[in-house]
Amino acid sequence: MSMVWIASISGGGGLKTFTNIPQTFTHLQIRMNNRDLFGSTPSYTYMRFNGDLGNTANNHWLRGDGASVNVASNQINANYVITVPQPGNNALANVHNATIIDILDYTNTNKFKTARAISGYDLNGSGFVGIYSGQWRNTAAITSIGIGSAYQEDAATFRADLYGITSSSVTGA
Amino acid sequence: MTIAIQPIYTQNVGSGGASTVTFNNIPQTFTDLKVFASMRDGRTDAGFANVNLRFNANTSSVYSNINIAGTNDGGSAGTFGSQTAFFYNLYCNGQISTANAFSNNEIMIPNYTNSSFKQVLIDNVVETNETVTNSYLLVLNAGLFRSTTPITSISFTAQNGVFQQHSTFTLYGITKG
Repeated sequence: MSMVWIASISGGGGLKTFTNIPQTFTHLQIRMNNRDLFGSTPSYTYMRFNGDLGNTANNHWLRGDGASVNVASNQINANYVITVPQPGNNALANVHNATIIDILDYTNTNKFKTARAISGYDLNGSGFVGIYSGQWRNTAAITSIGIGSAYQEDAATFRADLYGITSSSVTGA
Repeated sequence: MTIAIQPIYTQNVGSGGASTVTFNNIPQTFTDLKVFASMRDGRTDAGFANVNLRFNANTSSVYSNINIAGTNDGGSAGTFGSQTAFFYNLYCNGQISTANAFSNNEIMIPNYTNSSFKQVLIDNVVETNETVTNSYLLVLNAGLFRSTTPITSISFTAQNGVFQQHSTFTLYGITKG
């Protein structure tokens, strides 16, 4: 079997963390819904690897808001790897972002860890959809992943599920 | 219960590098295919590089694609018709990138055994950590392979050099219920 559920995190408040991530898979995938109690929309969800606060990450996006397309270097020396927008407390009730994050070769100690996310939400007249990237400039294997509101105010309905993806030993060359 | 996604092949580029990586004899028993790639090219004059993608070793002008892309120069959109490979679908890091930086790519190939033309979706992110032109690249692609032949092989060719050591390619089969 190649895609296996590892753990889930949920609930309101600040950063939640997947800890003791098994080192037996090839890739990781996170599937997430989030919304913020912070008053403004968009608010943002952050992701951090191994609790690193050393400003060693860069992240970018290519996204649209229904009126225009925006490309941005959100941060080049950040302490979070991915940032995706989410509805704030002033947004249409019951709406959460939908986000899928893929992290390749998370145990490979020869590589910086690059994450790719597809994320979006629609508020019946506004919203965001886009592709997001982030790189943790560290070759260490990822053993923990923290996720949560940039404002430490995740709604109680926050949920993120972590999956491990295996690979084949056959090359097909 | 059907296992929805299963690993088929994996190739890891070794110390000598590789100009082309090919998956041959792809089983025809799945519904869709999916590839995760994490790549770095030997290109020395930019932070990112194109990767040529071909199916069934077909070099005819049967590939086309449409994309939206973003770099630190801004956003763009383009179409590329009648190509002899997917030249503008797949991207990876070049040698100007920070050391140890590799791309993160996902390729989805639905209905790869179907006798219709094959539509392909590709998500690319290339983080280079440069502060100069072409410091990052994000690209969403839809590509068309105008062939009714089932896909039995997939090849990746480094357009500007060789894939660097530690580049990885993992192929999966997805089965409907």
